[in-house]
Amino acid sequence: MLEKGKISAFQMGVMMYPTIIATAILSLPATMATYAHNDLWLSPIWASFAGFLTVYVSHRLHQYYPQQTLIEYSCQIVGLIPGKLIGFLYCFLYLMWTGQIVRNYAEFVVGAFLFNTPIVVVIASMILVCVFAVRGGIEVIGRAALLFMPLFVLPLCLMVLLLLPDLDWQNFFPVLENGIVPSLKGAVVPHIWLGEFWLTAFLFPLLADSSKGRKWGMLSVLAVTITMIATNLFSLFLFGSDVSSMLYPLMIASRYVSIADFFENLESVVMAVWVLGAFVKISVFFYVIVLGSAQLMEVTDYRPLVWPIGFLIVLFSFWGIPNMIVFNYLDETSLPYYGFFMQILLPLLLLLIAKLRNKPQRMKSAA
Amino acid sequence: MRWGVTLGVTLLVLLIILFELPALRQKPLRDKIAFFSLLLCGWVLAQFDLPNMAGPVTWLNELFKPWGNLMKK
Repeated sequence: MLEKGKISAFQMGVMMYPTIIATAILSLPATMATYAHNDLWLSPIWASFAGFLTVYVSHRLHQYYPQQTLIEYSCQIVGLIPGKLIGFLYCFLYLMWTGQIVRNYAEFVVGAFLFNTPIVVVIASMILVCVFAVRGGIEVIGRAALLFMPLFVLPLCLMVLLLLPDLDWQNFFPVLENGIVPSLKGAVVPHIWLGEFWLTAFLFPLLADSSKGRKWGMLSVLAVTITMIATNLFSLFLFGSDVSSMLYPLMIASRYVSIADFFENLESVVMAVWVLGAFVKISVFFYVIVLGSAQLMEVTDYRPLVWPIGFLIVLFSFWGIPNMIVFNYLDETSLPYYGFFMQILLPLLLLLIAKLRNKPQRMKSAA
Repeated sequence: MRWGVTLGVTLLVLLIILFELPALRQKPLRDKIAFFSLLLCGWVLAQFDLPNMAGPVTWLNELFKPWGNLMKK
């Protein structure tokens, strides 16, 4: 085992929450509203099935191959060369996605706050911080996530409270005006975010109390779903049908807050939350890439790979993405489909093969 | 060629090597090869005008575009 550190199942659950939510609360309400209109609050419920399924599949695979990550057991399930190929695909996919996450983070920071800063500075400084976290190992990331969790959740709840007087409950209606299909269409993009729980395939072997792994994984999916429903309802009540035309509804909502001329300019709070969440999210993805590629190349230590991979992430955040228009176009036209293939179909296939492979052995041991 | 970028990236790569070298010396050859090949990939990639070049995201998009267009109908 490359990683000596251990985290608790609770820490994993807490770690996964900002890993999914950090980017999901900002731009996803608008994406869901584009397809689902008034029923955007239903879409996370459909999407949550993807989350529950991936946690279930990754936990079942973990039961078949305890103490092994996806990279290692895929070689045992489908053989050395196809297994390595699958491992490479996942490392490459996560490298690509981390690049996109960092780019999304940086574009938001530059677009909303640091107008004159070159984007590469924002990206590089974030990666620099994450490099130190990842070099510290999974324990450091776990603790950082635990530490940042209240700072991440409380400001969001506070913002909802402050905006309560501005909410218009009538925007909720009509429910299911055009049937169930629009809300299902709205779930296509967010199901990728919940499918990111497939990262637990790398984290389950690192748990000190792996028997509780599934419970906390599922609870984390539930928490993510509830948060997504809440933010969607919140944006719907505040903006009505205008949500779909906004790039970052929550950001605009925070600018609305004005109570007693004292609570104002709360967008800086959203910003702080976003930086914290993005830090945890990028660190977790970064760590998974580093651990995965170290296991893929069978080296003795993953730490030397952290800097080169951090450098590659910076490059991948630019590769093929000239601007945010292209970025959003890619997010909607292709991401949900290859994401579905990599996070749901391929894991299910692996589980099926693992099940068939392990059957005769169990019968032998029973006889 | 953008010489400024080449120079900056080379400097960055050298800094990373300097930072890791003391720890890397004691590691087996496999680790060293992995470290240097990843750095080389990064160095080579950085020489291109990446934002305006077709990347993996573009290829995947070409591959999965039909599904996306189906959704938009």
